[in-house]
Amino acid sequence: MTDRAALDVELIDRYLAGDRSAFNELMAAHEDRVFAICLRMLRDRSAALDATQETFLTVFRKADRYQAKAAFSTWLYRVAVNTCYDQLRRAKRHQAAEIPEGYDPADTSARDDFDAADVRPDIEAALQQLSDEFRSAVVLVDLEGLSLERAGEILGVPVGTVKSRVFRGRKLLASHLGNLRPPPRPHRDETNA
Amino acid sequence: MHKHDHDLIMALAEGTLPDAEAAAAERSIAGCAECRDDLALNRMALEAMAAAPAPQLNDIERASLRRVVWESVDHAPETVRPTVLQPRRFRPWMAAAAVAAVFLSIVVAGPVLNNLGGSDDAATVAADVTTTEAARSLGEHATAESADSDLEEVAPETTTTPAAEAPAADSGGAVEDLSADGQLFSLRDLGDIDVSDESLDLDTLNQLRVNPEFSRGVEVEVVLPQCYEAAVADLAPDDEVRPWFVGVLFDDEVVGIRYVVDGEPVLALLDFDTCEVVFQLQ
Repeated sequence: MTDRAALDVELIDRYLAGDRSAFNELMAAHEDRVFAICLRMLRDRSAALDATQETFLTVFRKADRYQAKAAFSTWLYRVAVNTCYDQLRRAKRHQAAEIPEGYDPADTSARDDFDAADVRPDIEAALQQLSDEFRSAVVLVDLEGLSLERAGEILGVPVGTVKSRVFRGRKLLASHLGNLRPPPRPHRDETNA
Repeated sequence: MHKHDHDLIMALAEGTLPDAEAAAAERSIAGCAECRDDLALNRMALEAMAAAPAPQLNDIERASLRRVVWESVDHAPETVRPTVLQPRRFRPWMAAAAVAAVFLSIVVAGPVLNNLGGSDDAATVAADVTTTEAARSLGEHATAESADSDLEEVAPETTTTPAAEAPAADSGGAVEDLSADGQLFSLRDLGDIDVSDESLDLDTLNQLRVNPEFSRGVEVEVVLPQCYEAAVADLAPDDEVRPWFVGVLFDDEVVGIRYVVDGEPVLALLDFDTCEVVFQLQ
């Protein structure tokens, strides 16, 4: 067990014993990582902040269910990913109810590029083209640097499934990046022609 | 393409192979156009992601987040209301509560899912599973001896944990009603349900429902396919998975799954947020 993981277990124990400041320490240690995962899953900063808040509220409510057989951060990230999935589904339902006939869903990829200030817009837009399952695997493994095993624990799937999703997710991401990039400028001779 | 090739290409793209192995791997895929394309795409994606800065909360966001969450922690009373869900401790009344939860969820979620083609969706989700720890943990739970426990003896659970009374982030379920004086349904009336009864249908379940108003406030459309995966991932290939319902109950907290292991029907309820199994009935 790493120092961080051991400290997390100690903080949870203290919190469950009634030391509320321990939760503050836990939160301070993990809030940026949780926010990063949520932002990359949801793209929108406001939605990511909501999801981060909901994640910590859930963890705070259910802290007594945490069992130290997995790292606290693994459990925390699982709650974060599930919270994001939930938000995405709600958003899709809401969107489906409001989409007017003839709406072009491709337009959504260009939306809010400038709001996603912390993530390069093309990466951000390309990530949003992936399915939720592929995106979560790519975010956890490639962007957050977690091992395949930990990502599997967080997502509740076998390592082989994570690996497959990352492999396919990367390919799709690269394809979308290629499509999102502006076409090369025409050669001066062509422009003048 | 074989799985082996995926591993090799991923390792090549990540640059994790020693030089000699990388050179050999490059040679081995030289004659495979698809492999070369996959390698190029993997590298392109990794380079692009490596250049993306890690997002961080700004000062205003951090302050807002901490204020909301810390206020919740600070205002949590020491004694909590009873809750149906408890971590991995089986008690007979829990079995009854679980059965009630499942059936009420079916009553609520079933018609919606049927209308939405939910069974097909669930089956599709379930078909995408293989192996992990979660289902193994199902076997660790005690088997429900009977679901007709004396529910009058269910005492409110109390704890000194400061965690449990926090306001729900997205309340809307029925957990408060379950523990309130005017229960919306009677667990006794659901106690005789046989989990293995294949003939149960929605009409039958609706007849068992004491209060037809129960469905109010329960959000039935939210599904968590990842919880399916967590629940059934470790089953043997011959084990049959029958998602029984996909629904939400008790403040969006429970997902129920029915499946068959070695010919024996099993019913599992999973925590909505963590996908951990909180009940198992056989």
